[in-house]
Amino acid sequence: MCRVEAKEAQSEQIRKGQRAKFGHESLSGSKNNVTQAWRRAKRRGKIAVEAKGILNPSANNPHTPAIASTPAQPLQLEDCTAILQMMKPPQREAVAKALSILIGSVNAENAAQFVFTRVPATFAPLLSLPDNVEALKLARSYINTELDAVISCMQQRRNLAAPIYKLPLEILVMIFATYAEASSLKDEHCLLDLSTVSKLWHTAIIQSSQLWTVLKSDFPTKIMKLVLQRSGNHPLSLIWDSTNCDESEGGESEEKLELVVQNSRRLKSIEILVPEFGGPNVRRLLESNMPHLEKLEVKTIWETEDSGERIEKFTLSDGPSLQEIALEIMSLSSWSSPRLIGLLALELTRLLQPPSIEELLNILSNSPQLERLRLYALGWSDSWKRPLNKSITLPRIKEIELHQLDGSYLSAILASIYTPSSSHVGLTIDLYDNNGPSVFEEICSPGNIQLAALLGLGDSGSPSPGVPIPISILVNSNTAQMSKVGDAEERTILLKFGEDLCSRVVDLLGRFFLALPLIPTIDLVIDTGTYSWENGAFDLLPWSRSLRILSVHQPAVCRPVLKQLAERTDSLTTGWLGPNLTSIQLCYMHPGDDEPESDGAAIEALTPEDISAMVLGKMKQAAPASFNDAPRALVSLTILRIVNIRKT
Amino acid sequence: MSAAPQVTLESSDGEKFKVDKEVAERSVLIKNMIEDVGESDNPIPLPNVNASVLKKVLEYCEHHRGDPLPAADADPSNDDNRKRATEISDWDQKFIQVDQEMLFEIILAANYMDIKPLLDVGCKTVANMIKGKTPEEIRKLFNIVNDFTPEEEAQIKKENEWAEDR
Repeated sequence: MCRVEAKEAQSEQIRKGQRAKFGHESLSGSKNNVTQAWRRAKRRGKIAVEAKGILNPSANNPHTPAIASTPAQPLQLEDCTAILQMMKPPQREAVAKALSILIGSVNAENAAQFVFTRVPATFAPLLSLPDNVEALKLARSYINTELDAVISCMQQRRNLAAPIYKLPLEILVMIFATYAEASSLKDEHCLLDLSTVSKLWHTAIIQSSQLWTVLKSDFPTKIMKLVLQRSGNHPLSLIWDSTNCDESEGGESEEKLELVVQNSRRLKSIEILVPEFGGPNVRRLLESNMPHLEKLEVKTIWETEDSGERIEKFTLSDGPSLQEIALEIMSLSSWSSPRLIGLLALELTRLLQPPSIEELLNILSNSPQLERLRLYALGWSDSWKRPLNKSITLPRIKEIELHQLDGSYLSAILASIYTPSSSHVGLTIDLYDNNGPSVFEEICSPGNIQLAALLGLGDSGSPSPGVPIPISILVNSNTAQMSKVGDAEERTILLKFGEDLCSRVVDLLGRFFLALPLIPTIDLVIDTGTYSWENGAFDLLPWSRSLRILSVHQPAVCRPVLKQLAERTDSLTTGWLGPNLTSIQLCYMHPGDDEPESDGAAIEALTPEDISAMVLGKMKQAAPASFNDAPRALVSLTILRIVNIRKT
Repeated sequence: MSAAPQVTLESSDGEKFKVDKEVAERSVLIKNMIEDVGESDNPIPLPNVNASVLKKVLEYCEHHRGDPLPAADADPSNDDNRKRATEISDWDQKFIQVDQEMLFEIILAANYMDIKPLLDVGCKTVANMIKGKTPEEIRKLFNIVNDFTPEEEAQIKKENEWAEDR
């Protein structure tokens, strides 16, 4: 009996400890009179129970708490009534039943009108009966349980006053989803912690299977299983990063992947980063039956050591069309899979076995809804013979990125696709490539509508009626980068070429824009960087009608511009100082003693100031107050950073 | 040049706000109401939004008046949307720096008025507030008390760990 009693007391302490640990707050203050009453009553009850003497042989033990020998106090009627009024019917009945066991005088049939007919001064006589010990324990258990329920109920009511409880469940779930997406917690599912905040949050999280649809390689096996269970029948997204798998996990990673394979039919989206030697489960996963799959992204990392099975390509199982596919290194066994019809996004990078141009164009022509096309560094393929002229209009494509492609491959793509709605364009033409120069000449052929469309100049190469579109072109020692000015859209066309081709590039681009039905305004920046530009001479005449700003850096490039400026003609029709040109900036730092005289003469011809004033000045700026011979539109000529120019 | 068409909105507490139609139509609810009822001089009642909240909401709509509208069928689980999970622009961050009461009112108003970008900003803000905090810290932040009974708490712990025993 002594052990039983001690255990009870210990349980009580543990219970209190747990409540403190989980953050139950004390309910005190005038708002919580009822709770105080309940607690007071409970305390009295407890005292009464523990004061029974007979059941408490440890009373003589000096270590027994003093409370054990405190005389019992009567349970006050108002306490009990207040408590019972707070309770809902099931709780009220249960407590009434519990009290009836204790007191033996409660009208349990009609708990709402609970009346103490005889409130005993102490429970000791009752407890002295050995037969009632179990009943007493049961009663106390009832009371404790019901007390917890009452407190919980009151806490819930108190929570209703918290501002965040104004949000409906659907919004709470949206917040939790946002939180889960941004969470980078490892080894745990971030929602587990969140579900312990309150009952409402727990309900929202547990009952919303859509919150449990992402499987991550970070999760331990137990969490994977939990997610699979809680996601119900929702389609799943897999985010698998082998570089995050701890090697010490050993077989756990394989076990988790096996779990995914078992549930592959539920997969809607796969984003995996796997080693080149991916192991059998990677292939099993990629080739498993995935009828709901809409997005497939497989990126491969190189490995220094050969281990396991190297996966160069895999076979997609049959099923409905994918929406997005992104592959890096690992290829498909067949590029004519029906799942590649109707794609919204296609991204292929460094594939070991890329599609032939025919296969690629087939995919594109079967995907008129394509919105994103990214092709990077595709390997050489003998089958990249240029197909017969094929015209594929991709009306919805917004983003197109073509980089580091073989010249003939790129040429075939650019000659075949027409992308009138593209708003983000990245195009790299490598003029070092054998076919590069011819590709470039082809796409820059005057008035080419494909290039115009890529630059966002609208249908048929025409800008929108009214305002011509400003385009910025930065030409430096081995690249030319074209982009639209002043809007959020990114259109960057990057040309890569040798320095010896720079003049040709400038010339071709000038002629290309000149041939468009409505010429865009162009801010042209020519910067050779730190390299000399031996073949710097170029003709600005083709640019005459499109230039708005001309900015030239480095003397080797400035020199031909200076010469052309010095020889400028006043005629707007024949000179390159066109009607839209508003600013010329020459960033001029003299390289040495070569041809300083001619530079000096050219500048002197342009500026009314005495050139000798600039001879010794460093980093000086010459900005002529007037530029009498220039067309009216030209408002400034700025020559920056003149250093050590001698007057001849 | 004719002035931009305007509409009048009426808050739950009777205050009227005259705004450009383009601004008001950031709210899908209002846009649909205008389409259904046609142009009218009568104020559009917004019985679920009081004046102080409506003023904030309109400030947001005014700032974002030229932004492209989100597609009606935009998939929230879309990859790009997901990657931008908790990114909020500088202006939006400053705009949403309000007390909790106002924050949740703005979220409710955005939900009611169907202004998805504003609802997203609100949700992201709350998600950011939660990020990195323990349950106890979250309770303190939002003035929530733990309303689990010890038995329920034990049960949750068991639920969350059930997989371990399988």
